Amino acid sequence: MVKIDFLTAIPLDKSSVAKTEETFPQINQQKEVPEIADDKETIVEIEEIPESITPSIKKEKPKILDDEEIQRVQPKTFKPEPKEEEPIFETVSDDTGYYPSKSKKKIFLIPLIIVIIVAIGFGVFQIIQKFPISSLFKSEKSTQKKTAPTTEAQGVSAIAQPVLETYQTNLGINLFIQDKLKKIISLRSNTTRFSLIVITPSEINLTVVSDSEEKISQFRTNLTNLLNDLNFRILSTKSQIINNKKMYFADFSSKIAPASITPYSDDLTELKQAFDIRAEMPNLTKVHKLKLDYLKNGRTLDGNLFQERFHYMGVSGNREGMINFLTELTSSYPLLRINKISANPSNFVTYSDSYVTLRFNISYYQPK
Amino acid sequence: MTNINSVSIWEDSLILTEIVREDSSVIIKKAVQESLPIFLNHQTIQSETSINQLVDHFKDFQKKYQLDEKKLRITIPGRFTIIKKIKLEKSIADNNYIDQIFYEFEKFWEESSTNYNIYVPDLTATNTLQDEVLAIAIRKNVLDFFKNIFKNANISLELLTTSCFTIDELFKMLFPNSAGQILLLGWHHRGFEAIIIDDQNFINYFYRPYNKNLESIEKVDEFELANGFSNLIYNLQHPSILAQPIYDIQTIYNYGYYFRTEWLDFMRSRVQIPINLFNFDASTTFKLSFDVDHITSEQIFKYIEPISNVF
Repeated sequence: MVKIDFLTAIPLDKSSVAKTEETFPQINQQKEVPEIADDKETIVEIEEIPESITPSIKKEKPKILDDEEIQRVQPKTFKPEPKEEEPIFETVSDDTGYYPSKSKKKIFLIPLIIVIIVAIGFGVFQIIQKFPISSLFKSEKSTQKKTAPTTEAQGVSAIAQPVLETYQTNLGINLFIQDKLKKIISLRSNTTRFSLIVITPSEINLTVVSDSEEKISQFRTNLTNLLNDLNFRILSTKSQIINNKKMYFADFSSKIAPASITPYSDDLTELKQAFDIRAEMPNLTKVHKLKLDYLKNGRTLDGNLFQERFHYMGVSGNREGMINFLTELTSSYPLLRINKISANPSNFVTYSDSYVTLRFNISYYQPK
Repeated sequence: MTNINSVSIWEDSLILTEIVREDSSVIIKKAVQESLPIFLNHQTIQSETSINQLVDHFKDFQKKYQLDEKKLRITIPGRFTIIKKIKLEKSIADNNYIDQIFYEFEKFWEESSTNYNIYVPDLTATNTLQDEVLAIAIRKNVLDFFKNIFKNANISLELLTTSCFTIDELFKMLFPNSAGQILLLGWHHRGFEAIIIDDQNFINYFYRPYNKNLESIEKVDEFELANGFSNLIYNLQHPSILAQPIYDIQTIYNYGYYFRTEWLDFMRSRVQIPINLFNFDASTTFKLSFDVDHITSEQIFKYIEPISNVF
């Protein structure tokens, strides 16, 4: 039962939503980000003070080593980075059985120092480029193979299969959502527009607005023709007077069959691996000349393989920048999974969709 | 023994009841309906002249019905508010649900969002993981209007709430064993008030005028009322262009000052759903008696709104 007394009830206070204007800590990689003409600071809302960002890393072009040198230096030089910055793919373990004896140490001291310096540079390069040493051990054939994840049987210590499958699922979902959203917004009509688009991995919900119910029916037909793998049903309609004109809102919905989302099957090594989302998202939005309205932490769920950290963020800006941003977000981050994306034009009353708002509910899969 | 005065206000009228309640015994001592001197709408509630007229009216009202030193419980119709069910995402941290609720209301605002208050009555600190919450938005100037009217008329308020919720609560108290979806259908001066509930939840609220010209019930003939009723039910059950019905209404209960029992005939001829009056007769929860001559237990449906606010 609903009980409310307007004399004593306390209304929700929007200002109580934590609002902090903060410039995200700059990381070295940000230097590579093209400057935006409008140098307005990115405004974000955060819940927590960001954890310390990994110290600056000088990006160097790696020196190409031959196999012998690599096998000699690798055991001593590789050290895992802090967890947040840890590469997805495990590197070769220390248990190789090769260590120089004490007596030979002095003889090899000078070349060893040189090799260590080179190896450190190479190790750093791996972290930045997410380029595992293990890939150097792969044969030409195995590096060209795109589908199968690397395994112990291939002679490398690789990411565990269930973990890899999660990343592939993440990308599969993200790309599916991106594909559907792009198709949906491509359906433009002078008489019927979207006022809200919500896509999750399990369903798509749309709210469209038009000046007649017949036009909404026609719009649904066009939508069905465009996305013939989905079955949009109209769940509800309501009318509302907008600018002295009667407008109809209709809610469309379609379930998504789990089988229609196929896991990503290409190589993941070129994609962005472990990163700090609170540094990454401001950068990414800035690159695409968008405004990051907020970025908030949600709950954290502990699983066997991962810690799933929920985040939600709001991004606004022009249509083209938003599409580019979405493309990069959905195709470059295997550790991210989009749980829900909501898109709406900032001013649907005027039918303008040149400035749009996207709201994301995303999970960051932190491997354990 | 508790003596409670309750007033239900609509755009152009009000109903006052005075009830004495002791345990399961309910005695109705007063039940009157009056017209308001002005029609309440967005313009009039901001007009000083209208406000003064209403203040004078309530001062006279207080004297006429001897309400001195008695606190009033007030209900306003659900149509003065925006009622919306909002699904909360479980991933969102407790202290950030407010942002989502404001966002969900954005497309309903007809003016700046700062002009509205939003209430979420069942969202408590210990219950934020629920999937869905019911939120109520109301213009701040509507609330201020009612508070100021009674303050200037020197009438103390004990409770100010929305009648659709109190009616839902009363129904569940009177008929705790009802099953399925119920339509509580209010017949008001200018339209139907439809409250859809089930045995557990408040499901939805609608207001629909009797006809397209928004005419008052006196100017609408029975045929048009019957059409209005069947259209309302049909649209609820089989909304236009929808792929599937949204509701599965099992029983309809009628209430409202303007309802006449002879209309049950045309209602029953139009729809196959069982149709009843919202009276206390079938309830074993309360024993109702009257200290007034002009109403009987069969007519209690006319005064359901103010009565519902005394429990």
